[in-house]
Amino acid sequence: MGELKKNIMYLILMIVLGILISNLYTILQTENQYTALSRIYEQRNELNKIQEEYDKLTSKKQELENEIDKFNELDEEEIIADLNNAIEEVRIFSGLTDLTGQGVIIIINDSKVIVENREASSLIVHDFDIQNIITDLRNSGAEAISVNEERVVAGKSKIKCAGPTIQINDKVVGQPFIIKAIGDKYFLEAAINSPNGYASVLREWDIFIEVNTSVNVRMPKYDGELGFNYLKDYKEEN
Amino acid sequence: MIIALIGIILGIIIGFYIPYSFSMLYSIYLAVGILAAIDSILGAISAVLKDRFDSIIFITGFLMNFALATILSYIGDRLGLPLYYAAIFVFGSRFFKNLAIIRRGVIEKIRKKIRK
Repeated sequence: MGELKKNIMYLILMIVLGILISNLYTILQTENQYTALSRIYEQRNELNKIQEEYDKLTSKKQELENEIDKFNELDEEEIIADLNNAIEEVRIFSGLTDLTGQGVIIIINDSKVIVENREASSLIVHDFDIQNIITDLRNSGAEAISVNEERVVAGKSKIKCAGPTIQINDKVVGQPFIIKAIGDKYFLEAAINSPNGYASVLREWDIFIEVNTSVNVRMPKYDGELGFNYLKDYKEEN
Repeated sequence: MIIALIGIILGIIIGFYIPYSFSMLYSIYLAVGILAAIDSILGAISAVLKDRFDSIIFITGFLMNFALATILSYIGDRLGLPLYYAAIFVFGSRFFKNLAIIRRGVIEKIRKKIRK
């Protein structure tokens, strides 16, 4: 290698190094900060999540604005129709209508196994067993529940012990207890069959439980007493 | 020596006028790479003072160290392991060693001159 060639080589190398140094300097001049790649991915995920939330909220805001616009444009008849729809929705929500839909039918029966030295009360189905099963179903997204054709509604249904039978909504029902629930049938079935569910506890006590999924569960309406004795509207009170 | 100095100054000036710059993502690789390059330059200077300089070894060492340090820190970043510390330790310690050699060499030369 000639002397000139070598010198040119050095010159080029040094120029490249100088460019890199000044480049690094300009990078570090900005207000950015060095972060590891993994941290960048984390932050990107976080940002995406926040962005999603923001988008969701924006779309919700748009929805509500549309609703306001609709209300502004409506004439009287449409308002009445809308209110009737709302009333219908509330009636469905409070269980005052007959319903149908996919869901599960659960049959619970007293234990038929006789084990020595076991209390008789552990062999029969109690009110709290039914209550816990209902809680399991509700937690798995059941939208409507009935026990032996008695609708279980939020806030009003009573489930009481009545000796070997159970009192639901002031009606006495005996075994077998047939619990119907409307909701995602596979979810509800899994809720009963899961190893952590309350049903597995009952099965340990040899109580008979059977779950059947159904595409068409009929649900009776709540026909117990309505009305309140003590409740008052907070605004009227003041 | 003079060529190298001119080259670096020229490069820095050119670099400031180039609008394109590396992304922030790669700044650590760049920094480690520059450290490796400076290390090989110092090594070359100390070799000159010892009269053991070889241009081929210098150029290959320069490029290899640069590439290796950059790749090492990139792989480390991918693995979630700060491997660039290895490059920083090695080059940092060599930095001081070479500086010491250069300092001694320069002082020897100056002393010889004074004696003459």
